[in-house]
Amino acid sequence: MMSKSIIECEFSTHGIMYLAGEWSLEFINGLEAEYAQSLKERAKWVVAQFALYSDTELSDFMRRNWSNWGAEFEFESFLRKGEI
Amino acid sequence: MTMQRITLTGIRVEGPHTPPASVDFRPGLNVIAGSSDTGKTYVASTLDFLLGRSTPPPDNPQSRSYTCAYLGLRVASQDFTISRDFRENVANIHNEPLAQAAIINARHQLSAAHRAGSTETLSHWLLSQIGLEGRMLSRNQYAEKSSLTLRNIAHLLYVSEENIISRISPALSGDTIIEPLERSIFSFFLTGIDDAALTVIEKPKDRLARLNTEETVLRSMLEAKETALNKLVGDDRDSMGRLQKIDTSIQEASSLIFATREEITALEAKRNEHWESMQKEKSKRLFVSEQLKRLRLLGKFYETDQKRLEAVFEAGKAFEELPGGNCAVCGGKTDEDSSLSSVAEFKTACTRELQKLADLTKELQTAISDMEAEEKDAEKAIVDTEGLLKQIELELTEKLKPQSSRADTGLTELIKLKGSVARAADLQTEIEGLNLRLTEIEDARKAKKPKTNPTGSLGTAKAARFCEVVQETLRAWKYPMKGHVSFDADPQKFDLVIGDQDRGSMGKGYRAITHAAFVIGLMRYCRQENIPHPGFVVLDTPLNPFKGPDEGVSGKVNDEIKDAFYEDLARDASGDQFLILENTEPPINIQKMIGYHHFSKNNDAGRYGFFPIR
Repeated sequence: MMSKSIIECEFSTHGIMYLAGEWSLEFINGLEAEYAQSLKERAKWVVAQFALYSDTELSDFMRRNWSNWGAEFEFESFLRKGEI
Repeated sequence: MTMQRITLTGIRVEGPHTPPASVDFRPGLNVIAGSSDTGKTYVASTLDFLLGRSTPPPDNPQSRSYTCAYLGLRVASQDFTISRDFRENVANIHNEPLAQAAIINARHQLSAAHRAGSTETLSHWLLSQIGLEGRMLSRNQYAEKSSLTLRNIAHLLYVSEENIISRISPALSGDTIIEPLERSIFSFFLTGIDDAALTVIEKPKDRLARLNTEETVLRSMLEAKETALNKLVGDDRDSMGRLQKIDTSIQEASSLIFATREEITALEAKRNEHWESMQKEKSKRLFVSEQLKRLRLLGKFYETDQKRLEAVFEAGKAFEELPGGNCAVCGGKTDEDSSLSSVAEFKTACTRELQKLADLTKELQTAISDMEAEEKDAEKAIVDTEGLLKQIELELTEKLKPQSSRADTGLTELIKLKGSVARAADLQTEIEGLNLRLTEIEDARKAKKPKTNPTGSLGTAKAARFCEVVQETLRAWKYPMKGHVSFDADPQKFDLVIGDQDRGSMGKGYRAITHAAFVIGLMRYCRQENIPHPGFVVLDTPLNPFKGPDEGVSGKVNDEIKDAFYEDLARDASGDQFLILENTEPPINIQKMIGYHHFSKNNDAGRYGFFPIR
């Protein structure tokens, strides 16, 4: 993808960064498969949500919300009784 | 009830080839006077036969050719005639006066003799005319009853020449077998109340047999119950006490069962609580262990990334040290400078990425340690809770449940025991009852005389009233009397006492006239008291034997009494009928007032006798 200028790679003191290239927009706009469409939706959501976060802010956010993710597993042992 | 009385209108006898013989009667006093053998007694005897006596009048040469008799009577202004063949035991009722009745035209035939339960008898027909039918009277001291018959009261209506001087009470006929019944009848005439309501008392013989039978039955019942009781409780007879104790035990057992059940319920609730919290811990452990798996995998990714970066970095360094060459595509010289600067940038970027990875890995390690701690805590909580659950289970299965089932079993047994002890208590009560009854039987058997109900127990006031009527009658007859008339109800006597003298112990003449006073007094008493009575009496020679206190000295007193007797009866306007058969004639003035027949035994003076002369 790099050779076709869809992605550009940048090395800096921030580390290795990937950026959209000259043809990125047109390339992505050309994709019509359902998966690709929904991927675009999610990407837009991520951008809208986190574009303004710095790296540190993002790390903090993740740390804060990490433990909440376990809630959906509550009482899972009931469902998986036989396996425990 | 309308009180009807009978008036006799006359009597007639008939036979083939013989002129009939008859005599008429009118209401009030009728006298047939005449010497012996004129047929006076035949008239009375025929009358008795027509009122149901079984035997015909005694044969005499003059009566031999007669085959049937008629009695005319009037009830409630209606004439009837009773006819009866001397040879037959049936009587006919004619709804016509004596003069017109003929036996060959008889339509309504009745049995001349009383038959128990039958209404087709002369007795029933006559008694029902005057409201005396179906009266139930005691015939013995045990209050067994008979219904009243005409024959039962015949001695109160017709007194023969022999009976009028009898020492036996006028209330009795002299037949000892029916004497108790006759006392009941006399009592009935005094009180107007029959004995239908009296309860029958059993005879001693029957009573003894019944007591014996009852005792046998009771003893066998008693034996059966004793056996059953022995089987149940043996010698322990304190069933009531035991019953109380058992009730207390049942109460205790019940409250123990209740308490145990409460305890079990509480423990089970606790167990459920623990189990639920354990399930939570288990879920948590599961989640944590899943997370740990992922975190560890992530750690491996980090490691690989790091190694790959290191390899890329090493390759970059080595690439830099190689001499410059031609481009693989165009064959021109590669740009050394630009390459050099980009390698330097690349190195910086790689170092930065490695640093980031190291940070992440460190953070990850912290997270994993936290999770592991959490996992351990959950593990411990699960083990602890399991321990608690095991303890609860143990408490339940080893202690409370057996305790509960033991109490249940105990209670069941107590209830069973209570049943049998209660049965024993019942049996004891029944046995006591049986023993009591046996004692009663024993006492009853020992008791010398069973309770009886002597017949003819007179209401004192009624008897006194009757005596007053007799006394008035005797005074009207100028009977020489010292003191009052009373009645001795002693069954041995059952007769009047006049002054201080028992009627039965008096002289013949006195007995005859007081006998007349008795039956006439009774008829008068019944009228006054509104008690049914046929309303006629037939007396054969009540005056003839009377000689009076100065017997043989003067006939004056005699005549005075006899005149007063006729005078009293002749002037009786009540409607009651008196038929007197006498040897001597009544006073001339009386003769004109009454139905008078004189059988002169003289062809030239009046009527010769009852039978026509042939």
